[in-house]
Amino acid sequence: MIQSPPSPLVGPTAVRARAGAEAKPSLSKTLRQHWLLYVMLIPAMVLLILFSFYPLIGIVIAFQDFRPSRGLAGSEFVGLKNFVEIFTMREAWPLFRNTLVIAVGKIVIGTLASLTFALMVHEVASRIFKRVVQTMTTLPHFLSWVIIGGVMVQVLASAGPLNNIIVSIFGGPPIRFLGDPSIFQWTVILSDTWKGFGFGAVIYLAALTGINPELYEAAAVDGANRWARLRHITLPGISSIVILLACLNLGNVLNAGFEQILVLANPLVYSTGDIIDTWVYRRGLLQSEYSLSTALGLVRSVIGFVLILLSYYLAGRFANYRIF
Amino acid sequence: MKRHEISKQTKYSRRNVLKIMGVATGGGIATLALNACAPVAAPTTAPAGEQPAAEKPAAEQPAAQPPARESKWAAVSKLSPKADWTPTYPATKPYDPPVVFSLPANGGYQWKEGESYTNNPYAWMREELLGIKYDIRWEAYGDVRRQKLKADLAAGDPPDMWVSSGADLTQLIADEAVEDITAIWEASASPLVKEKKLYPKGDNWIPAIRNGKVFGVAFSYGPAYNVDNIGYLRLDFLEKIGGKMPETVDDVTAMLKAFKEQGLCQYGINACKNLVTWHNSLDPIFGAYGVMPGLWRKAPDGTLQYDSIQPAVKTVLGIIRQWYADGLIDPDYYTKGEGDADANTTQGKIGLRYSPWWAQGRINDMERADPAVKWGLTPYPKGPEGKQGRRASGMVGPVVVFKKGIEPRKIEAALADLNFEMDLHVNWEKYQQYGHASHNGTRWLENYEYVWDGDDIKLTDTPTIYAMADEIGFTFPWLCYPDYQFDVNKLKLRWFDLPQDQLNKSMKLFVVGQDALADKKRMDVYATIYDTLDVAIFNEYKAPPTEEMAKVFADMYKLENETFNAIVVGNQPLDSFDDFVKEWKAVGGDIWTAGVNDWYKSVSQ
Repeated sequence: MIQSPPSPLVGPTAVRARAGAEAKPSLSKTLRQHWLLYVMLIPAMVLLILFSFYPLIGIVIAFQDFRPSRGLAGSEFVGLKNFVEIFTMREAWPLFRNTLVIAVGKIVIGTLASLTFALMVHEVASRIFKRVVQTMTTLPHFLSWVIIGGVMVQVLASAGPLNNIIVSIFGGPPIRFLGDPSIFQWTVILSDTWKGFGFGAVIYLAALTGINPELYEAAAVDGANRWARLRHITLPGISSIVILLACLNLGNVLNAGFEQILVLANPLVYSTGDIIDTWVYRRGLLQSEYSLSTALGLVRSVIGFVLILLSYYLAGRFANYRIF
Repeated sequence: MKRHEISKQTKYSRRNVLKIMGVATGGGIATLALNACAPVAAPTTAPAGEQPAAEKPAAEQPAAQPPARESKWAAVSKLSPKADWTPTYPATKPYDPPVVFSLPANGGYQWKEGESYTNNPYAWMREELLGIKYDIRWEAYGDVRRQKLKADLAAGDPPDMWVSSGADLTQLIADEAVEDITAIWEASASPLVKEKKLYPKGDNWIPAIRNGKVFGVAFSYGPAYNVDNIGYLRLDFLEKIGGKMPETVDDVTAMLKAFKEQGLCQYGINACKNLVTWHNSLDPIFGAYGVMPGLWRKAPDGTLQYDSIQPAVKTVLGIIRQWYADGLIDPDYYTKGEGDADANTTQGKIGLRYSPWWAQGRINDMERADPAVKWGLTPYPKGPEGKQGRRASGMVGPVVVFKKGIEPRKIEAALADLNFEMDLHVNWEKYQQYGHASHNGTRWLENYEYVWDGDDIKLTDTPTIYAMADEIGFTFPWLCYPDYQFDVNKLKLRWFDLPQDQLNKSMKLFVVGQDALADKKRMDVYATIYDTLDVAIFNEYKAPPTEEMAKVFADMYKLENETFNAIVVGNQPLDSFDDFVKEWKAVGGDIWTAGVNDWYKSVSQ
């Protein structure tokens, strides 16, 4: 993980970023000096070109009436027709709205949950307890949504454990977590948070261990209580990493989690649960409308790209994180 | 909706359903066991082998038999010491050099040591008797298979032949990406094939023929092939409430309530998120009111109208909504697909379900596990006007297409294969030893796929016939004819009544042991469904969707499914059905209706 300069885990990129301000050596000199590094870079570059750049050719599909039997070369170009169709279709607004609400909800709530959890774990003295809790909470991250989804459907059923608890405490009819359009988005956001907060906390915990313990000792000597230490040492100590991750997450605001929705959604919650990815899947793959779904995918990617640039700028500004 | 059905059928019918159920009858096969490299006499009736003989290129050897001693196929087929009669086989003459088809396969099978798709008894048989070999280009299944096929097409390198349906097929034909096989088909397909596959007048040919040109070989789904549902009722529950067999929808409601009130089962009737579907469906309730959501039917004015927007649907949704409110339906039914809902059956949570004939398999298992459990069939409930109805599967299915520019010899070889196997299917009693393959599906080579254990049969862990059959494109519905299932079942049911000494070993395979009895029950259900074809409600729109229709299809279906389910669970009032009808028309329903009626006009003239 790349860290901001005040932290002991100073990242090499950050160092280089500052070093870059000095006189730049010529390219040939750099090459001669570091040729081995460049050679080691080749396999990665080949993979990148092969799997990330080369497929970009497929973008032309978005501007075509693509027919598999005619291929990329033979399909007719239709200009922006597919884009016009996307933005004028009945579902355009709900799709973007649902995607945005779910994705932003996941980022905000997920970040808060991870952060709170990390702070809590950090305060625990028992090493064994810490380890056990961390392992248990990290585990769900490694299970696929297909498995978790099956469990969720059981847990959230009308007669499932969660409803049993709620009904026994508050009474009333069981809650339709998966069948009520107004609740479904929360179900998605919270279940995703549950799955990911343990893993998300790992980074914060790493940052927390980076805080110089002498600061705590000094504060304790000065009579600061736990709360004061949290406020004046812990939070400032990890603030840069929090800001950094928040900025980097901007690139995800149109990524609401395809697999999860596909597993949890049902006809009752199409109105709030249908997202861009599920639409692309349905129209693009099941209905074979490659052009339309590519166009929508492109729109999403462009928005995502702009947001990533923005987040990079913000990360550089607020967390001093730079790659180039 | 039609496309939806088709994709479901191709996706589940053979491999999943039949394999899971361990059923054999429906699953059939392409590859037929031919016991033989023994010298062969042409059969007396309708020998498929004769027809192509005259048409084949001069390069071929007339009726040459493979040398028995070197034949791998012979070595395996001789493992059947219990055969106590000698069948006659249709004369065949293998292509020389062999015709090699490049095909995709489904994959996912555990082969016997050293064997594969291209190296196993079926493959040996095919090569030795017909001179046809397969070259498997890749293995994938379901949607992935569809995508890979399209990728191959886009790259200009499609397989020699593949199965296509719906809008995909429309596009392929429109783009001239598949071969026009009219001439070769007319010349090479045997009269028997043409007759049995109802060429050219059968509904199954509608997707394959454009302006008199044949663009592929149509599948032939029979009536009740897969998705025709019938009511399975817990007779032990009925006995406990002291009720009589329900006749009307009101009777059904009363009965389900009694089941629940007396604590016999948790819910009552099984349902899943698709209300009208291929198992755990509620289609007979709609049928009782003379409507069938998802289907196009003839209106009094002679046009085709979409049934989902008819007023009677609202009435039925009201009934189902009440059932749901009364707890007669699983409160979480909307989270469950067809298969997920099955758990309610096996867990004893329901007393009534509408499912196809093969669902008897699971019911057999339940009855076997608990002798107190007793299931039986219940008649289709009647509505207030005495109507009954179920959704019928219809005969329209996918089409086997050939890539553009394929060598004519390959098309001809594929048809020769079809001729050959059609003969085996039609005259299967005569060839029953290998007919076994097509009719019991899971086993046919003794000591290879099964062994005799006293009077019962034990399966070995060698992959089943499906491993070869499903994919290759030579699937059961293609090789077969609509009434095949019915004919075979009829014959098999007859054997159960024959005295033991009149059965030869091969017949006994079908009638001895627990599996055979279970199989018999399934066949009885099939016969009942077949006998009630008069209540079957067919889709009058039989063509594949046009591209324009395909565009609106997904959204229309989503809207319908969303509204219907929201009404049932009470998220929306019953009256929102009227808004749905308006919205349906506005967002594409009118386009759809116009397209359907354009087609209907063109065929009814």
